[in-house]
Amino acid sequence: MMRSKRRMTQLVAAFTVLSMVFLAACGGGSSQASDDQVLDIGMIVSEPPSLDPAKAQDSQSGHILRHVLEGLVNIDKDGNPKPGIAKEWEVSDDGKEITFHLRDATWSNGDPVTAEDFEYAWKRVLNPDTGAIYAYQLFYLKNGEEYNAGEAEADEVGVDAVDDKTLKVELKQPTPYFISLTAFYTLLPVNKDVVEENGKWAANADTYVGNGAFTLDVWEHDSKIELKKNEDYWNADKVKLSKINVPFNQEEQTAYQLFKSGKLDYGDKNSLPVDLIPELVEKGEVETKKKLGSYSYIFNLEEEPFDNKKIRKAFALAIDRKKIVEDVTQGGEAPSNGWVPWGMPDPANGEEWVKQHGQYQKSSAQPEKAKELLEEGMEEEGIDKLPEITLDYNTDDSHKKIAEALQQMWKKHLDVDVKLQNSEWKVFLEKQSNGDFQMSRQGWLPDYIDPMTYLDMYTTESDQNKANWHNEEYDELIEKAKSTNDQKKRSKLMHEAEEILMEEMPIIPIYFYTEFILQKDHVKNVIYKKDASFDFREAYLTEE
Amino acid sequence: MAIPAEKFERAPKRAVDIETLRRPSLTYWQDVWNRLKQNKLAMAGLFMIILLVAMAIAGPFMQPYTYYEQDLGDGKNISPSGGHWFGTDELGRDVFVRTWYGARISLTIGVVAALIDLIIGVIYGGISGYRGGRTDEVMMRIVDVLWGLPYLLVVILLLVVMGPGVLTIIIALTATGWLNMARLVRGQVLQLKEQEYVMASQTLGASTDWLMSKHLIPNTLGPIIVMLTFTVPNAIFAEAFLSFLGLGVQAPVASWGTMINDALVVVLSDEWWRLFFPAFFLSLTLLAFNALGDGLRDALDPKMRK
Amino acid sequence: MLRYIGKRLLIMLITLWLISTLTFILMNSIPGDPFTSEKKLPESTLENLKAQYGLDKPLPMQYVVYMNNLIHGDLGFSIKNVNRSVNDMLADGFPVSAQLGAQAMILAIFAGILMGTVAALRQNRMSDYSLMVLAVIGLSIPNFVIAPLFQKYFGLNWELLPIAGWGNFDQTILPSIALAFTPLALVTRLMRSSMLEVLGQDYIRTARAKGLPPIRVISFHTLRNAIIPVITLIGPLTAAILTGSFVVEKIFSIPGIGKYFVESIINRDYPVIMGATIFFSAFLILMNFLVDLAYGYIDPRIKLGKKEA
Repeated sequence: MMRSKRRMTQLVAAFTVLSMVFLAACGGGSSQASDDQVLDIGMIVSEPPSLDPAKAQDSQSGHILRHVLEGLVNIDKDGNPKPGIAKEWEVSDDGKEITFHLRDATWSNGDPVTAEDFEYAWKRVLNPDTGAIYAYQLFYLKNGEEYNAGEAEADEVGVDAVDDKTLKVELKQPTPYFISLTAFYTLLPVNKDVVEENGKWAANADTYVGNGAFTLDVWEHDSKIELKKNEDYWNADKVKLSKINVPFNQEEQTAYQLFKSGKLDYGDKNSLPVDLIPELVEKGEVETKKKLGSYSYIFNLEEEPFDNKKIRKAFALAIDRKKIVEDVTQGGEAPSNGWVPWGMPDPANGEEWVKQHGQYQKSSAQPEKAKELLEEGMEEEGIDKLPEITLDYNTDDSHKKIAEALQQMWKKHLDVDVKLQNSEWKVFLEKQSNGDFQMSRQGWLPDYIDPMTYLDMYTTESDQNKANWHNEEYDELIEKAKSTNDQKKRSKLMHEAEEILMEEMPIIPIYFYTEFILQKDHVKNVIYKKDASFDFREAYLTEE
Repeated sequence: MAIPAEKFERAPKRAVDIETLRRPSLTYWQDVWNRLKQNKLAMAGLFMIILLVAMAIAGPFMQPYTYYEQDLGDGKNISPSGGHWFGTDELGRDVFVRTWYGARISLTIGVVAALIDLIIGVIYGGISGYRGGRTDEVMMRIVDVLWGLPYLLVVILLLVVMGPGVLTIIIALTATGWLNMARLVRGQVLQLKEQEYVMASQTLGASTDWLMSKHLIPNTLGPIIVMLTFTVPNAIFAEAFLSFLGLGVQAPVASWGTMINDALVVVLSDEWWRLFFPAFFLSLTLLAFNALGDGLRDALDPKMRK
Repeated sequence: MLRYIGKRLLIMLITLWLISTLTFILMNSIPGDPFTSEKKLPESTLENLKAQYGLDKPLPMQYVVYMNNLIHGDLGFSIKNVNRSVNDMLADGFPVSAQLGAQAMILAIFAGILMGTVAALRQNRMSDYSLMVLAVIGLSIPNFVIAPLFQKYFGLNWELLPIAGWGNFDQTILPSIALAFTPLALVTRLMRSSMLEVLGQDYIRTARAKGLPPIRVISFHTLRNAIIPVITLIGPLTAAILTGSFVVEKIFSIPGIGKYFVESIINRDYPVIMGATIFFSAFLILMNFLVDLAYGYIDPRIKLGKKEA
């Protein structure tokens, strides 16, 4: 009996060991390409939904698109436009007409890049039959919005290829930032002949035709993309990488481990588990960069008690932003002093916008003043008890932490109990846009590099004004700023508008974003730009 | 060889009082208890469960902290020490208090979900297997349909229609939980009902209820108990998944499931205590349930009766 | 028998139709649509988008169009992944998920049956207890914890196996084991329990008393009778595991179909929701059918599809 028991135990043990050995033995060696200018990046989380500029809809696709297609201009380190396919351009005095002069460049199939490709690409974005998500990025064009809504003809749209190398653009209003906008992925060109012949040209690597610094060499769906240097690129001499490998890793934690093991050379926040950020930032393993982005909570002005300005301000003043960034997010973020985020240049002088105005709100909490305002506000409303207050956020570990911290601050400083409610992303968005909330989280990234992208969203007309806040003076200031081409005047008007916004407080800005960069020491000259894009065009690797 | 039907005579129902053929049922449970008592492992399991429940009740009061109180300064991520027995989390909250507060939620959810699965699953599966034929066909296709529907979709809809709340959580947890149990019981009953002793009992005129409760279900208890011990952790993790959708417990309240979920980072960092304690007590709970379950199975097994 | 199978196939189709119809109703009743985004789109753009995917038509009409395409084997195009057909997505990803799942299932079933049998034969002894502890650990540590731990130790620290990715066999080892954990625990525990059940039966005692060697008793008599609960559960479990695991595939960056079941719903990608659901359901229904057939084979006394008892 004793013996058979032992045998059984041995059998199990043997089986376990054997299977491990067998499994391990089957593992072959991994192959590492020996070419020294091959960069492995870990920023792409999953299959890019589309690499057709008209259909692309996320920053992930944008990272790839910017390297396989090149627009009229590129954005430089400081956020200013520099020549791309357009070697130069002129703007008319009223700011409503721009003429781009194109250089000689070719598509990866050998065709020349012409002004007509741009005209075609932009009209294709606006064409109602295309169903382009980001069509609104071209609503600045004369009749752009009308064409998209089926109220104007394609010919009436303000973009025209005068000849092969000249593109004339007519704008609805003076739009100083339109030139930099042409670097945005929706405005990238497509090869007219290729697209007309095959509507699905962008679905696979073998039918993809680009004009960028790299070509789309391999696209294994749901698995990886490989970019190869485009030898015919007009500026190919500057391009040093021979290949960029882009494996898709959905899990930040996985990407981070791959980075640690040397399988990845470069990564951003998508290669970093949120909870690990504080530790790594402190150790200096991760570099932080200012990112244009504003984290905030919006009030619903149509719901009690936040229809009252004093109560809104009381809640805002009870927040210790400094604690939030130093002890909760811990990624080098900055407490917001206004709504327009750091990094945004002031159109008047190109200096940081946030340094051109006073502290609209302080970094630390002001409990006494908050308490006072709350009491005054409640008196104004004739209530002695606040209704039940719920704070909405979409499911995410870092949002949850921040919400929990806010909840405690309100409890401590105002003695108010706030309920937290998280929801799945689209349920959350529906609630927000239906006005079915009291306080709701909002993170906002810019559409283009100008304070206007943060300010025109709070006009009465705007679709993005989820706070249901209306202020005539504010609307007027924005309208005025939009109709002038004088950058100094625009800047002044926009500053005034932001001051009203912060005084009325339909939103509580909490902090300004940072981007996190993980890079191996041998990676040089990758540029992180103000439009949150990464430029690998001139990157190179040194000997390890 | 066929015997003409008229030669058979239907046995009168309860012609013999079957009760007298068995031992008095009063002693049955006493019997079970006596046998269970002799099983040291099972008793250890039972004791452990009682201890865990006691800690869930008393634990949150054993330290001068609350589950929600934060210390954003130096109080974050403290490793276990005299002040904080299980350390603190990333917002400076006491892990000891949170673990035992979470135990209340997770233990309740685990046990309630298991009980509901047990009741629905056994009845449904029992009927389906026993009746067989078309009833079985229809009942099992309903199971297939419920199984095939995307759970995530069902839960989102449930949440939108009913709003978050305890009832919604229970419905969401049991909406599909009992399906496995039902199929398991049905499979067993299909097999058992063809066995000789069942036929014998049938021939003696035993009613369906009698057959079910005295023969079929008791003989399926082994797999049922195993399945139940699996339902507990499943429900505890399902609750964490529901929290993800905004349906589970709301922050800052934590359950073991959400604590384990949130503490995943420790795989790569040093704050092992945030994952270890909830996971350890969850394992302990399961171990206790499994030990008790095994002992219970042995104790209930009529064949083991001496 | 053939008639029974024919009848069952018909019922399977009806079940499938029911599932797809219910799913169609469910997905159209939850808040949000494919184009709900943080930056609200202008009305005109939304209308254009909806028109392009036929979402501007009334729901009953959308349903008829979908069902008609479905009958012709066309699952439509993904809305999120522009220009990818759902048929292609499933065809590309399924072999990956199936390979991973099959490896995990084989591991779970064989090791589980073996371990369960051992535990039953050694009931209430040390090996039984240690296997119970092992199973409990397998249950209480979910694969979203196991998987990163595997990556950290086997991949990063000891450099024995790749951390993530797909293509070579060595990349399948860690995910297969991570995926096999829970089923392995389940099979082990179930097998133990039903083995005990059968071991107590008279015919086993008789067989043992006759002096048949234990191995023979186990394989010819016991296993056959004890395996029914295991088979019952393995059916749906196989369907679930072969159609991919969201968590494991995500953590190991594996291009399987597991993610479609979750992400299609998060994205409200209607055609993918339908396609994934129908695919999984067909698999599940088929597996449950096979389980029923297996019952009759394992224990010929079990008769399905005959008149009610």
